Amino acid sequence: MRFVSPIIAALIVLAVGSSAHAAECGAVRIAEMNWGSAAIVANIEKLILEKGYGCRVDLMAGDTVPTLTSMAERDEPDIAPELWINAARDVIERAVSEKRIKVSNKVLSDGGIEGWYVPKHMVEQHPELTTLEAVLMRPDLFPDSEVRGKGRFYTCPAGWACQIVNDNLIKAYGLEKSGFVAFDPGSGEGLAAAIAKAHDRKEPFFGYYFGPTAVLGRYPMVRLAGMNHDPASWDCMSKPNCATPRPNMYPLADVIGIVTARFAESAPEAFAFVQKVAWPNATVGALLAWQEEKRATAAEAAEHFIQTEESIWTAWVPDEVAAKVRIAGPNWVSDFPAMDPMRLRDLERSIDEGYRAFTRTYGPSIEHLFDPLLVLLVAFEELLLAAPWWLVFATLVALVHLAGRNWKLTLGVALAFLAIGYLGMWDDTMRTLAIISVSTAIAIALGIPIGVAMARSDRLRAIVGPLLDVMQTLPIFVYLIPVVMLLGLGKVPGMIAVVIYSIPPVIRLTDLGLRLVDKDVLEAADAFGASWRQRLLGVQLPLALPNVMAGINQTIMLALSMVVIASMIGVRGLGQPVLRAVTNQYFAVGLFYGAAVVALAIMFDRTFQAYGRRIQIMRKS
Amino acid sequence: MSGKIELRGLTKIFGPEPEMALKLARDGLTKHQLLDTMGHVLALKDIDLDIEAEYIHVVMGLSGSGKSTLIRLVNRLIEPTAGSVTIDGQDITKFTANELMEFRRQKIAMVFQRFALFPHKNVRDNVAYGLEVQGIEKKVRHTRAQEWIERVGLTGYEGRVPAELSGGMQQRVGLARALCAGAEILLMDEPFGALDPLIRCEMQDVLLALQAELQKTILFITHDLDEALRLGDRVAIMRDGNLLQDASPEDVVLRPADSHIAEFVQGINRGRALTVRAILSKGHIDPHIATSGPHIPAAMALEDAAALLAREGAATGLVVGPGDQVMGRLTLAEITQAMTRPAVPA
Repeated sequence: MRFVSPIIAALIVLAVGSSAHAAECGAVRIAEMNWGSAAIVANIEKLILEKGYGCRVDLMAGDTVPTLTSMAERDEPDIAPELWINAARDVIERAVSEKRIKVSNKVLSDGGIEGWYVPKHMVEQHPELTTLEAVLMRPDLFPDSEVRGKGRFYTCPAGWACQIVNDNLIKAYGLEKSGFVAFDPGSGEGLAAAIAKAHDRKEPFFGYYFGPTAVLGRYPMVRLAGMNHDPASWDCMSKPNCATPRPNMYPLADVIGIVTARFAESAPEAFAFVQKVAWPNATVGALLAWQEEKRATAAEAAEHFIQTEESIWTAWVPDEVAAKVRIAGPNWVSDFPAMDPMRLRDLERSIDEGYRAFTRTYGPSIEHLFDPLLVLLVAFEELLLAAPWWLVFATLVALVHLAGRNWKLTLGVALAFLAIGYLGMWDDTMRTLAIISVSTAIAIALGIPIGVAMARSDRLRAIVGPLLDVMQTLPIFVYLIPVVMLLGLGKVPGMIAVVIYSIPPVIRLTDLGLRLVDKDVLEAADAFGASWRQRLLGVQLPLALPNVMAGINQTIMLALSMVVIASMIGVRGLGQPVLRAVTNQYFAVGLFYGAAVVALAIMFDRTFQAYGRRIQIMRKS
Repeated sequence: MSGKIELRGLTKIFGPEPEMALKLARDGLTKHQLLDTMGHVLALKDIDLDIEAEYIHVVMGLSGSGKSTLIRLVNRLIEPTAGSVTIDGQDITKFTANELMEFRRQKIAMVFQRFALFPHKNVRDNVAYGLEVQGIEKKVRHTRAQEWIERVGLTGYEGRVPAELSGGMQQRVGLARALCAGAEILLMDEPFGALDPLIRCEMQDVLLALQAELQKTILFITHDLDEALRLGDRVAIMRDGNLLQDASPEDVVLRPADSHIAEFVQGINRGRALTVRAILSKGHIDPHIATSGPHIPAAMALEDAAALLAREGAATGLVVGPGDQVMGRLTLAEITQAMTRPAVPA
């Protein structure tokens, strides 16, 4: 390092020296929010600030509340170009009054639209479905695959401000009475994927969405009528635990840009530009649609905007700055000469279209394939939730004691479950327990036979081994995408993700355990004429058991750690509150639910270990 | 009971292309040449051996001689490269997988050098294993296992697992397990090799006592010539995958087939390995010596016979057969001479 650093320093000096403006504007950090319009506007501001004002701009991935908190507390990032006021009114007002941040501009000049939507193809089939009233009459048209006999309403993902409003609206309009249950899609991506799947397969959808977005630009949706904004009761509606929820609807949302007070002072020219940034919904929608069609990145969409919508952005900057923005070309020294982005996009699109065609053709039948699994999981979860808590509690504690025969362990588990119940996490813990149990059972039922086959065949091992490596190292989201495209949101795709992620240890350790069994002993079994089954079940597996148990144990641990991630695609349980805690920075909630996950993990781990030790001891006496 | 085993042209070559290596070996390539040129191991080469029913046939050799391969070819734990193994007229190398399984269950049992007991089963279930794979119900197999546990002197240890037993006791379990299966043929792969000398001797006694009563066909592998001579009704000696000599223990000691065996025989305790009958058969009968004296059983070891004469203060003893009929006479001097080691042939 010491040797290299002077060289790097020299390069930095060169880079800085080549751009005289850099010193004037300095480093600027812009929050790139995780939805389409905000990401593009962040890139547009980046382009103009870099080329026109000579700033060094970093984009920081962000979400409304964390970004706001960070700006107010730590002056970082400098600019948040697109915030929906409804999502965080209190935080914004407080930070403005404390003079930590400044509202710089109204970035969407028309305002944002939020509402409850159904797809247009449903309205074509059932013309009456244009109003909320009509939709509420027909829960049967929107069946929830996980709650029999109910209709599904896709609400906002945990942690979004609109979730609170939706909760109050659900009460005000009596959705539950009409036979609907709210379904948390887990993440914005999950919600968008649900809408995409509904359109692809001409399936029902009823839920919240907002615009301008690529989703609304791309998929024809009908915003339900019969819901009107009422400013009088709106204040209550946007608060959790609103005592008197009244029928209401989202107003046109104010969508603003904010900057830190420090930025406004230290970079007045750049601030003057940011204050002028504003664009109409029609432009945003068109650009999002272009981005979607071309599969372009936000940066490419920003470039496209600069090239095609000069009349809009030249109004934001003085002429001499506009001239600089125009002439700046690509920098072949600093940019990798990559494949033509559009051709690359064509390649990606053709792969996607192929897979989408596959999901359209086979998706429904594959979904049915998993129906028994879903029934099993739902039944188990309902059993755990419907049974009196003390019965479930007693059963669990008894099971732990039977397996472990260790009073300290039993007592610890009992205390942990009492604490979980007392802190109001009982139901979520039961849901997690249900999905973990079923997923682990599947992982074991598949993993042990695969491990046995691997131990028998070196060739199979050479194939499966690397596959397991891929399963464990591939970012989980990468295989969540095809699973969600194929099966939508909810328990089954969540369970599949959990199984894929958690199955490798049980396979590997079964294989290893079987291979480690003393060859002499196996020879003895052969010499006495044991059949393949007798040898495997009577000798090999029992002797491999300590390793197999270790594998099962690790599988359960991995499954538990996957629960939080699976909640992003709508798996209910301990993961969703953790996810909500992360997006909203609820430290205590995160801590409690995290601790509940840990308690479950310790319970499974210690119980299995104690059980494993006990069967070892039993053998000896 | 029966259980005659005939090995004919039995050959085993380990390596990726045994067929090709076999051709070369038949063309005269030696074991070492085969290993150097092709990386194949010639473990056994054209072995012809008859193992008579109801006798103990010992195969003796040092490590690498092919003896462990040989015993595993008899129950096909290893597939032969060439040759046949015929047991009571059936060539087991032609057996299908199912026939082989049935053959192993009914006809042949095995005792292993490192015991190879099932560590997760207790003594009773280990002993009953052969019956378990035969599908015999639990109560019956436990009763039969109990008999064998008593026979090998392990009463009271039924519920213990192997890890709790000493080496000698573990091999008693191994022996009981093999006997309990009820097979006529017993393959014993250096069963006492891992035991210390005192326990080994004790186990040899156990085996001899059982054999006197059971008359199994026993193929016994060892690297210890003393053990081979003590146990074997016949002794086959192997080196480098070849069979050097197959003879009675007396013949091995008194008439070694080659210098290699003679070298072996050098170090053994002749007084214990040879019986009175063995030297009598050489015709050491002098008609001029006395016709009276203590009776010496023909099956007695020389050292015991010498001790007997010394105790009685007699210079001459009468050798008698099983029916107490006189077979001949031997002097103490003749016995002690036979006990001393001969000069090594050059």
